[in-house]
Amino acid sequence: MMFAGVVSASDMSRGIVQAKPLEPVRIAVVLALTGIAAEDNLPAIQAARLAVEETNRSGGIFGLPVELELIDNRSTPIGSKNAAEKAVQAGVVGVIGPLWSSHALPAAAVLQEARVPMITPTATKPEVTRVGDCIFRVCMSDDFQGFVMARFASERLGAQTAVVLKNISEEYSVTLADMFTRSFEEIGGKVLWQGDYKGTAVNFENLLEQVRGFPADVLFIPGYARDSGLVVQQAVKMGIKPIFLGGDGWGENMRQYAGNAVVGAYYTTHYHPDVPFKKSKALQQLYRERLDLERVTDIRIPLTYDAVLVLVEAVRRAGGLDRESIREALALVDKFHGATGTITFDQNGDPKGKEAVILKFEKERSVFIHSMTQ
Amino acid sequence: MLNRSLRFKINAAILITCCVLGVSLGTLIYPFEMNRLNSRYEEIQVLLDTLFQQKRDDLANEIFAGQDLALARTLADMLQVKGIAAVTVYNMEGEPILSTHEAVSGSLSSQRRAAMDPAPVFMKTDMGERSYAEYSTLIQVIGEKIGYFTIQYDLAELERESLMTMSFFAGLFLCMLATMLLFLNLLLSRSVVRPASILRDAIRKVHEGRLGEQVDLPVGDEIGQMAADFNGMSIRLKEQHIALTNAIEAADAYAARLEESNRDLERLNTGLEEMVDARTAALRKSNEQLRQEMNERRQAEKEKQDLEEKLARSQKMEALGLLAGGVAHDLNNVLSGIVSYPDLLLLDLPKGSPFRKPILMIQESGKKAAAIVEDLLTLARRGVTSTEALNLNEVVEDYLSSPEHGKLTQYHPDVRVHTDLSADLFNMKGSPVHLRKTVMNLVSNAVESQPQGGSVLISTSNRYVDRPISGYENVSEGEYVVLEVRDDGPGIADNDLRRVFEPFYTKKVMGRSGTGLGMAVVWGTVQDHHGYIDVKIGEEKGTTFVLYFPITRESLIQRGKPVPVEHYMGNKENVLVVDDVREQREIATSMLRKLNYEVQAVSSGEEAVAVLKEWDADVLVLDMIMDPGMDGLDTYREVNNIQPGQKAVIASGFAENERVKEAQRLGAGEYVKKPYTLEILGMAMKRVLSRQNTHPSIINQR
Repeated sequence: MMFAGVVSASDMSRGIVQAKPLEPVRIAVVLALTGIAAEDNLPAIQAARLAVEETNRSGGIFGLPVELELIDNRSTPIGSKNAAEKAVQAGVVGVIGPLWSSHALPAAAVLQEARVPMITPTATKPEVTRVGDCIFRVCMSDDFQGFVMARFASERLGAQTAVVLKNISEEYSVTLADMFTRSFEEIGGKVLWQGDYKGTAVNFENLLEQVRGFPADVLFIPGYARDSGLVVQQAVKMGIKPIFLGGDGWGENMRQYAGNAVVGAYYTTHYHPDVPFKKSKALQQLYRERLDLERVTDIRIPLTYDAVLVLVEAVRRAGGLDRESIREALALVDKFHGATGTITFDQNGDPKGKEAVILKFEKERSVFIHSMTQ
Repeated sequence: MLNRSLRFKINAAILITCCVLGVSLGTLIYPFEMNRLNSRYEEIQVLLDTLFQQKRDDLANEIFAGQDLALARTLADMLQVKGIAAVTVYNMEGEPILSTHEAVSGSLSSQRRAAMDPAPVFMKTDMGERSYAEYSTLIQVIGEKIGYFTIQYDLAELERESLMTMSFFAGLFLCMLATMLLFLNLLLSRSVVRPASILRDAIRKVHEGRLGEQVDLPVGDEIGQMAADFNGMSIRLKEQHIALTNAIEAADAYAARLEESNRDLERLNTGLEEMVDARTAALRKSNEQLRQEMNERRQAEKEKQDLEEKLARSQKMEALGLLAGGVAHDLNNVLSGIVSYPDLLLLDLPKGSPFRKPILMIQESGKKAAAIVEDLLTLARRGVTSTEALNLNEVVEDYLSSPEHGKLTQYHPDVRVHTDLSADLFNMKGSPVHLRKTVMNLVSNAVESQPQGGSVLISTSNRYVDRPISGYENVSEGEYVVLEVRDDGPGIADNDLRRVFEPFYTKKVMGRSGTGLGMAVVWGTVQDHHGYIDVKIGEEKGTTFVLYFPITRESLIQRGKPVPVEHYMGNKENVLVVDDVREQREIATSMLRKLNYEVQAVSSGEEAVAVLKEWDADVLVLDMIMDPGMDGLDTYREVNNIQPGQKAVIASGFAENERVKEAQRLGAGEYVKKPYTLEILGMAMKRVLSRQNTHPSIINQR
């Protein structure tokens, strides 16, 4: 793999990548192998690998095997930029990732510059795909997610007041907080207070003491599993028990940090094991067989799976490894049946008509409560 | 410097030594302090570097991703570290992105940026008045140059520490200096400066002339040896000086002795003159004294003669008084018949009887005779002077409207009598009868002294006496009522003046008017009223009698009118009359029977006691003086033994005296003076009978 990287670097100087016989089609996966996001990103690697395996089993692309190149973004924006540059140097046909919006943005800037197609599985910040025409995503974006949660809170939970806590180290969190606030207040709710914290924070007692001063119906925490989990756990410990709401940064791994404190919380997400799509059932089957996993619940798995397969599909349709052709093929993807639904990109590179799902943490698992289509 | 004192020089030497020591010490300490400071700086540098390294990734990513909120939070967190004053981040162009310190706004110059590129820069800077350690570096992550970073560390704490260290050493040095100065000073003072000063003082004294001055210093050191040498020198000087002085003194003493003896001689001369003067003055003074003594002796002799004359006069008056008193007693008894019987006769006579007038005349004559007796008694100083409050003006007016005065003016039509009576005259206490008589005597004397005609002035006035009246050595100071009677007659010769108050001394023809007792009565009355008398004789003619009587504040009493006889009639009570004189017994018995009493009469006290053993008397009428046998008081005592609380009326021709008062004290009751009228006796009987028991009381005549 390293050897291949070196070769591709020398090819770069010539400007054109020529596919040599039996030379694998290389796809870069840029995500956090180290740092604060590493644990969160981990399931995506497996999902990407399984997708590639499956592709290769079904003959690869043009008979060429597909090879994954994992590049660490160190869980930082700069690391992401760095990683993207490496990917460009590696001469990959496309990049899957990064998963977090704050990582996706600098990577997108580099890749757009180099005109390398990039598909992020989970970066929901709307601006990510606005970077340029090479940037795509397979998930819904934060404006829809915020709208869905605001409506759910207002209509289904009857909430009139809310407090919002955002992770100011993360673009996703800041954006989703704004989207939710805007939608919630448009519907007629009132956000009493907005608090913030840094992504690396561990102790939230001071923040929560302030929250105690604003008894609201719901507490919206659009963070990632680690920080949100700690906030919920410490809030409940301090006796602050409103209805906790979260975004797609949440998942079953929240329990790792919050334990049972999270039971009863709602969150928006992209996927639920019981969705009726064929590819979803195949994915569940695959995981059962290959990894002996009863249920795939982590949304990074189906979304990464879909992202890899969409890229593979686009390469196939492009009929060659030319990145520009591949980008064009991607833009034209129409009704690709993925595990998370049918994917058709709009002019921004966002999928049309993706479904938002609202889940609720129960004792054992998250249960489906509600869904809404864009 | 060379002129300063020893102490100053020594101190200067010590001070210089100490300063040199201090500078050496400072030079030694300075590198240590610098070393310490440097190590502190290194520590601070390590601290700042560590802080940066810790936050480098966060800072880089936040700047890179434009997460301003997170960046601000990161900088604020760094500011929490103690000593950090300001943190600033710059972009690659050196323009500030964010700073915790408002003052930081300038860009980083390219030189500074270039300096930071290879390695962080650590230096000391000043911002305003404060010093800071500044750490500045390039922010670089995984080969990416993101921007620049500066952090200021406040050196105030470090500077304070440094200052404290310096102060400590400076303080230590000063303390050391002070201790050394004190110690060395003490030492030097004791062993050098003080002995030197003592020696210097001693030399100065010798210089001033106090030869033989000695210094007591230990001989151990150089100063001590100097002192010993000085002592020897001083003694030798003194011995020489003494020898010289003795020689001079001998000459001086001789001269002085000569001068002294001259002075003594002078002093002796002066003393002699003074003694002569003093002796002359003493002689003059004793002459004066002698003359004064002779005058005094002459005066005393004259006074003695006056007193002797006065005594003789008094004795004479007393003898006359005694004589008159004796006569008066008998006369009173004799007159009782003349005064009392007419009353009884008149009661029996019909209204139109031709005897009524002659009888009344008899009674009037008797009363006048009784008055003369009273005059005599007055002279004897035994007369009863009734002491009621009266006004002298009334007495004078009473006299002037009386028939006596009418008769007088009839005889002397050429003499006019004037009055000048003070309207607000004080009252006095006295007997109106006597005073009226006094006025009458004085006026008739005044009138009769002017047979050729003239005038008499009667005047009264109030006067306060505070200086002697002539003739009276011991006049009591006080308020007096004064009666003056002045005439224009020929006056009284000095010789006559002395005898004018003697009884029966008169220039007038005996029998024509007066009794010869007139002026004696005046004199006696004034005596009885505790008054004083003064006679003034005019230069050519005229005599003035001035009488002084003490005033009283009592007001006048209203005189009663005659009481109708029904008011003092008896009720058949038993009365025992005791009198040694038959006429008196008969008069009393007749009167009491008229007054409706059952009467018995006895002639002595013994008889009375015998009768009362058989017969109860409601009242005794008891004569006081009875001869021979028991008198009234003795009788009453005896009777009181038989009949305790026996009521009695005491009747006496004599004035009320001690024995009468004693009887009254025992319970006798009323006192009436002989001769008495029906009304007086009747009223006395009534008062006695109405009395419950034996409280004594005095009945006033009239």
